[in-house]
Amino acid sequence: MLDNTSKVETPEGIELPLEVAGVVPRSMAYFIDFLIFLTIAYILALVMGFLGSFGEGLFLILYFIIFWLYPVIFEVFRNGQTPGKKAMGLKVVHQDGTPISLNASFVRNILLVADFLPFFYTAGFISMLFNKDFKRLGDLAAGTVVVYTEKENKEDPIPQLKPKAPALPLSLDEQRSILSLAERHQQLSEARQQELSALLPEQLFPAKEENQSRLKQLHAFANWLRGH
Amino acid sequence: MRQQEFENLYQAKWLAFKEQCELLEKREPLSSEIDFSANYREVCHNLALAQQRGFSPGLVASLEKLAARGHQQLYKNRQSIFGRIIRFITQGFPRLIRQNASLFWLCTAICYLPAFIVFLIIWADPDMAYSFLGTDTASNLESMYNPSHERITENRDIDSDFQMFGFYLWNNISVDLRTFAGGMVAGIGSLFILLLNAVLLGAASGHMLNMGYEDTFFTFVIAHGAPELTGMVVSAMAGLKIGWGMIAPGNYSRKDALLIRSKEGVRLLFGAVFLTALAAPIEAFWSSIGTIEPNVKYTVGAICWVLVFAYLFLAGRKGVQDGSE
Repeated sequence: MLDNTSKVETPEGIELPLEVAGVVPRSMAYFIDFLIFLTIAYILALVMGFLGSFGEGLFLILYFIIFWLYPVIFEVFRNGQTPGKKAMGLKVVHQDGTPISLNASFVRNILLVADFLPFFYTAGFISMLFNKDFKRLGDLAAGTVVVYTEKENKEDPIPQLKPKAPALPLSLDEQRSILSLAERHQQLSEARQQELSALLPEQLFPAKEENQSRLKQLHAFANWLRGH
Repeated sequence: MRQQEFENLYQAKWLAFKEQCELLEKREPLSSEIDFSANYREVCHNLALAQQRGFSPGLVASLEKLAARGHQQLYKNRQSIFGRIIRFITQGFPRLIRQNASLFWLCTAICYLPAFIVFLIIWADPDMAYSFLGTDTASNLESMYNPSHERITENRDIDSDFQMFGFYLWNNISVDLRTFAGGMVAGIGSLFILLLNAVLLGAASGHMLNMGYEDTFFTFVIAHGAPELTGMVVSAMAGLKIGWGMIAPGNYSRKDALLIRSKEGVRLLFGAVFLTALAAPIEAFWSSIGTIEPNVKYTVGAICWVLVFAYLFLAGRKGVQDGSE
């Protein structure tokens, strides 16, 4: 299947899905962070300007800290999210799905310099295009991925109908498709649901019950599969 | 067991687990009778069952989310960052240098040999200084270290010392970090930055000697040079570590080699940043004092060099060598 989910296996023997984020949302997150960085630097310069050469020294120290450590501080202490990433619903994690460590965050953000080469993040862009997890060079070296934060999935209960056993045995995949289609009955249009149900074996829907719509029958199967 | 039965059986536990995750995400402690990892394993087990029995994708997805939240909390690093930094500086970093002793000496040679050669060239032929340094840099150096210049013999006020402190910190550590990043270009970037600085150092020393400004120049650089130059060498080590991982990955794929080497590389880089940060206050507040006798400054400078090397080769020899961090 062509999608952006990357599975990681955990020590507990389960596979967790990581929904990796591509170039566009990550560029936008970067842009937001860059604007915030500029604003902070500007305010710092303004305030420190009143303090003479002592202020200039202090400004250089603080500027150093925000220039190199702005993303690191947020990623380590704010759950893998800089303000830009948070705004775009992204976060950075290790490629095994565990929360990012200080060392990894440091590597990936220092190597922004390498990603920048030869001009305006060309190396990083090319690296992201050729990697299935959209990793830039810094991510490759640090072993990190940028993923979408889990959205609260709203579960639509499947419509309650009298359960009915399908006439022929169904494979696991087919069972899953029926349940999935029933669960999405509020998100898809009637026509699209009809269309999708046509992918199931035709013998499932006996001719004598033609008066009952295909979807009704399908929901009845779903109820039966669920064990209502 | 059908899905409905399964859900009825475990729903309460899932809800409880979700609440525990929420508490942990807010960094609040769980009550002591809750066994979070056991609950997490049960959720993982439930998820595996749900997948294997073909339960509905909606249920599988919500269990996946739940397991992922637990996973994030369970595998979080709980050690305090402060304690880890202290342990790294007192033990981890010197040990790391000794583990990579040959790389350390290689980078030291790459730094000081060219510097020495350039120094000799300029000593033999003073005009070469202008080819190596360029006329602007050369005349800058001349005016900076001219002993008759009053700025040298007078004390700077504390404000401008602090200004220079900020500048050194910003400039020198940025050089370290760029040197490390240069390792991504198969190590060439790191080598280039190291060599560039080495040549500058050699050329400046040679030129100052020829001009007769050696006292003002060497008394200035000798003390902070110890941690600063060593920091530069170590940051080149860090860069070469990842660069070499790409050129000769050994038994690993290039991807894995890069990953493994950069884990070690970044620890070297932390050490380099520590050394360079140490150099900045010395440079700003001690080296800049022009009124102290040259002999005193040379002695202190020599002590600095001894201390830096003693630190790298003696610190952290005792204690648990678990290689953690």
